Amino acid sequence: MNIPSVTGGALRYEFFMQIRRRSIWLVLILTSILSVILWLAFISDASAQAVDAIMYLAEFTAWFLPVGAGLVLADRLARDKRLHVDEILDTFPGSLGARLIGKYLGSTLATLVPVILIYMLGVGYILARYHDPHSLLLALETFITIPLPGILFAAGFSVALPVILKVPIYQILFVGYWFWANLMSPRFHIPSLTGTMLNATGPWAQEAFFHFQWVFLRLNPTVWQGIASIILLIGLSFLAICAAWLYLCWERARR
Amino acid sequence: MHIKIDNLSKTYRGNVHALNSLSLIIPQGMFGLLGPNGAGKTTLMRILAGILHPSSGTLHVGQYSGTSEKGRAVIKQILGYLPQELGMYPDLSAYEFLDYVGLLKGLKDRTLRQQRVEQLLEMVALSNVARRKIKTFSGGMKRRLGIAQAIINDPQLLIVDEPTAGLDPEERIRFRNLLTDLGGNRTVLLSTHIVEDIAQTCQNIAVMKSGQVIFQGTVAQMLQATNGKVWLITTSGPRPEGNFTIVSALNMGANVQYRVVGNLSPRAGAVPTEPGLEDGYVWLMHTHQPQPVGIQTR
Amino acid sequence: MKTVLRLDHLRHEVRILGPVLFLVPPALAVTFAGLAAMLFVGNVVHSFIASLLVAGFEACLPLAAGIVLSTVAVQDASLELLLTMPVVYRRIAFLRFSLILCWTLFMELLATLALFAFLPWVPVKPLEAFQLTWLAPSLWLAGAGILLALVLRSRASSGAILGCIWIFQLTFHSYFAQSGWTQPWFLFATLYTPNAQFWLTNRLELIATALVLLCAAWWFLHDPERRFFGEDA
Repeated sequence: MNIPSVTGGALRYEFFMQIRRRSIWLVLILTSILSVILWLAFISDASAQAVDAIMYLAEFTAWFLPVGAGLVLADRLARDKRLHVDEILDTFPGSLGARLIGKYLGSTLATLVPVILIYMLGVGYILARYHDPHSLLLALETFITIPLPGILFAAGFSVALPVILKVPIYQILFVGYWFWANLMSPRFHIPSLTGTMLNATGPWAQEAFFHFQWVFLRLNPTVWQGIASIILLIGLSFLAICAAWLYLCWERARR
Repeated sequence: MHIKIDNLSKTYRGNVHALNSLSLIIPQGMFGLLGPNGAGKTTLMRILAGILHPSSGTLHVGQYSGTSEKGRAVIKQILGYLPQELGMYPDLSAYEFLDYVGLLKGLKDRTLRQQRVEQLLEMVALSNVARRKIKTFSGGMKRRLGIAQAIINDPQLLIVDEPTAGLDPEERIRFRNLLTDLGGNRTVLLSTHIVEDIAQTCQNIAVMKSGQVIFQGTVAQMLQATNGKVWLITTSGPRPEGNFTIVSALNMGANVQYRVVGNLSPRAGAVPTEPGLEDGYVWLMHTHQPQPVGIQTR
Repeated sequence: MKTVLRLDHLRHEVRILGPVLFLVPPALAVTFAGLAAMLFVGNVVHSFIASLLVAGFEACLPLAAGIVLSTVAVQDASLELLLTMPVVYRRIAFLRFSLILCWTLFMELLATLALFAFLPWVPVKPLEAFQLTWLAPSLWLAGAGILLALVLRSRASSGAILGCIWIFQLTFHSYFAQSGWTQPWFLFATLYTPNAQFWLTNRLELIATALVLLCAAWWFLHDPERRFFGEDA
């Protein structure tokens, strides 16, 4: 069986299985409610423009929704083991790597659907309030460059790492990591990744492309640095999937 | 102790009618429950075991009502249950698991409980692997351990759902003999697809289809109803066709002998033969249509 | 005999839960102690080391307890069998929750005593009051984790909600500390506002809410059919 067809099949069915889970929608809606309350507080100032509202929307989406998305994806591979589906799938002619990529893409795309819908509700509110049609294009650009790479990054590691870690252990470490690597203020004097290109909440892209300063960092990046940060985040997520694939191949060979 | 079920219904979310006004009397002794997949056998067993609540109807296990919380609590004291999908804690040993179940079933005295565990492990031939973790067990070993946990409290009501699934023929025979020994002065409800298990152990059976009972009686009654409906057709030609079901086909070199169940018009090469339980089951499935459920709208 | 029976039962439940879940709290405590030691050797300002250790008590250990308990609430390999036992299932479930929770609280208590013994400049409250630093958020996250897992039938989703609440409160702590409607469920009052007037009220409100959440979880488990349809795959 060829790789694209295996990947496509896995993608399709992982998408349908994931999008039907009520708990995904509940988690992302609850997460976004918290974000929205704070977002509305930030833009309640009469001087706030449509641009500010879009930028804060993208920023808060990037801060919190990838956490929710990543955590709900953490049990995908463990689920295959629990239901003994992995035993059946291992007897199929399609490659394990193709199936794994399909699983990553399918379940991530399904998790993106509620994220996009929630984001669009926010954009709808901005349009209704500011009557600025240019906001639509800006909203699209900000979504693609700021929260989306972070979601792909979180999803990649959440699908891959539970191969070696138990799901609750992974969840605890992931939550701690997300705060430490992305949202920890420098005033804590603890070395962290917050100021680096590995910050998955998109500050490099935000400042490079839209010149909108992040909350407690002043980076002054160039456009190329903004692009590099996006490529790095997406690339790392695929690297994590590759590492999981290699581990699963090794484990299968040992059996 | 007998079980009386009156107009029991169970509807799952999404308007799925698992049981449709099912009525049944299960007498003491071995009782077999047959039926195709989706007939409602497992749902019925789970209701009897107190896991699920019926949507309507009544159920009595002896003098105890299975539809009240109090009644269910009492029934659980006298119940042994072996589910179809048997889940066990993989990191416990067989000994530990049985001891744990014994504890939960009210065997309070440690010494007596441990003696009972050892006795049961001996009975199901797992003594030599008693201290091994369950995750290292084969499917057959797990099923034997499951049987042991079901009878650890010497239950008056034993419900076994597909108990011989995964057992080799020798183990199946041993298990059937064990069940027959147990069936003397208690009620054993055995649900299975393996007709031979029912034929060898049960006098009384019920056949379910689409949430209803389409036959209840003795094995002899079922066979009597199938008299004259089972034929052997030997032919060298094409597969025979007609208003019947082909149960088996035996290739005899030049000819093929078909065993068919149904109403057969007279034809050459067709010889009537004694029905077996499997034939009776096929005949029932062929002829009985369950009563339609009241119209449900979404 | 009752004591022997209870000990036998406890022993089995500990075996069923497995060693990994019990290793999480001490592992986290040791990690924080190691981090603090590194910062101390690096001559970092003592107030930040104190914040780190308080964060360990108030933020990290309670989160771990919440996520571990949400997994225990929804995963049970022998669920169908246990629902047919004479012992009511919710008693078994709550015994397991209690084992994990009590172990976590015990580890936190030991760590507190060690802190007061060896680093008395760290705690921002006296010994008696400092217990509420970890007790209140631990109980709250435990109750929330258990109830969310039972309602959503998913350990991943309940862990996700707990994680989001945790990150949210850490990131927007000033909003949570200042708003009247968020103060009752502000988990990190000791870390960010140790001298606030509402501190004690906040701790007691968290404990009261936790008890309500645990009661709701107890009620939820009274119906075996509701619990039967296991984890949402």
